[in-house]
Amino acid sequence: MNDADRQYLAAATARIDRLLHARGVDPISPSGLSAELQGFAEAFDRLLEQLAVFRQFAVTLAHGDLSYEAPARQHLLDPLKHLQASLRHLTWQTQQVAAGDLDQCVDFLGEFSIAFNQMIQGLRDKRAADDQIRHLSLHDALTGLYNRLFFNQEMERLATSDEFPITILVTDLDDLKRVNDTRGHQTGDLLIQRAARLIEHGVRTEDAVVRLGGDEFAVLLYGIGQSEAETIVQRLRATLVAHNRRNPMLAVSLSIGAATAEGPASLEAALRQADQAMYQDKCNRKGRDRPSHTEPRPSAGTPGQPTEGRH
Amino acid sequence: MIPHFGENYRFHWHDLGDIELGRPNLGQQLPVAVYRLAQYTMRETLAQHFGAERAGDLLREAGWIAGREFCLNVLDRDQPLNPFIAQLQAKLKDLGIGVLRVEQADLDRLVFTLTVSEDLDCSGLPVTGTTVCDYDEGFIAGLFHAFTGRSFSAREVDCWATGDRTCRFEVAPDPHPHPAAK
Repeated sequence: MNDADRQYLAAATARIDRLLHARGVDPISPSGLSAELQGFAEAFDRLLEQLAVFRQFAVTLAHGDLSYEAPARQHLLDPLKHLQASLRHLTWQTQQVAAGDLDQCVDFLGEFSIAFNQMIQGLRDKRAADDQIRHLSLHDALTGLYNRLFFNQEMERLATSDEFPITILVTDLDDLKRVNDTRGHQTGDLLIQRAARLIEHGVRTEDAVVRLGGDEFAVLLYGIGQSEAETIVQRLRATLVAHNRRNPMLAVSLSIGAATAEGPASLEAALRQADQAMYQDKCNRKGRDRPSHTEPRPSAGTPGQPTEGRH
Repeated sequence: MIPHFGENYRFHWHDLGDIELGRPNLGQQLPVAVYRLAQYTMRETLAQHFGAERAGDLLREAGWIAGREFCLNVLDRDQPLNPFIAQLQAKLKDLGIGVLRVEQADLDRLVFTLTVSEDLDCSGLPVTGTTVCDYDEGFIAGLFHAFTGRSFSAREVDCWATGDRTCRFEVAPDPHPHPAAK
């Protein structure tokens, strides 16, 4: 062993100490070593170089920085590269979850997989609960139709949209109070439900059928102008006639008013006009062609037409 | 990439046969070594006839057909890209092909960095210093072609055979697609 060998071993020992104290080291690049030691010294320098990169990579990962591009073919880095790949994928998955994709699933990361997948399931449950709450807040429990809150929100939305023309139908279930008084509230509820189904059946699936409250309903006929609205009202009345012929014991009579808004400015006016038209229809038909619920008859008369000028 | 024959090949999914009918006792499963035996002896034979580089090209083209057919017959293409990838991940895992992960995704440019761990083709192979997943490259390119209708390149940058523990693929629309891709 020559002096260069001894100096080298001292330098190598110092570097090992530094490594064990988590401090960075440089290669030694010795010269003048004995032949026996030269090969070891070169291999040790390669190890030091890889350990330096390993340490830099590990510190970067520990700081949450996933952008480090590890050099290729340094296999000491493989576990860290694997970890980096997993963390990058988790980052992508988390971005997907943040964007609303709750189908993400983490595999093969032990306890973390279980925890992540439990979190996703919790988010799915919460979303389902939120959807349910939202549904309940916007729907009528008795009929399943939209409720007044939906109607108000939709009117606000339409007031700032360009989805015109739109026709508003306002309908009132005739004689509900009398049915409640004479045949009980259960029958009254049944009548309301029956009316809801008949109104739904009489309009298109894309229209919004709303129970405003009590015996009052409304329908928003999207994209429907005055002449088409008349056809729809006729169809609704025909639906009622056909139903009442088949079900004289629970005949449904609706007073109907309709008005068309050609633009946002006339939307509120159309609602008032439809309401007035409905009351006019109710007055016109009172005692004339409405089915009686106290003395059921085999057939009900044809409901009247909407007021001229308001369909 | 896209093979010169484009979509005009004679393979059909039903050529795989009715495995349940044909293997009532032995079933669908077989050891990975048997699959690799077929793939690497096939590669060797191709290399003997045409050279190693051409053998890689031919396996890549076979993988392209496989990826395209896999997409058409196994995956639901009628959904946006992210759910499609999630579905692909689940299917690759279920079939034991590999654990697919998305390291980076640029949905505007359709540029991705994908990793496949426990890869059917290469995980556990001797380290030779060169990537070997030519078939996988073609598979990914064919799969993305079937989903988007565009020609894609998939290039393996890390592989078990280069000493890495995860195969890593750079996937991007092919800047110079073969005319058959149009």
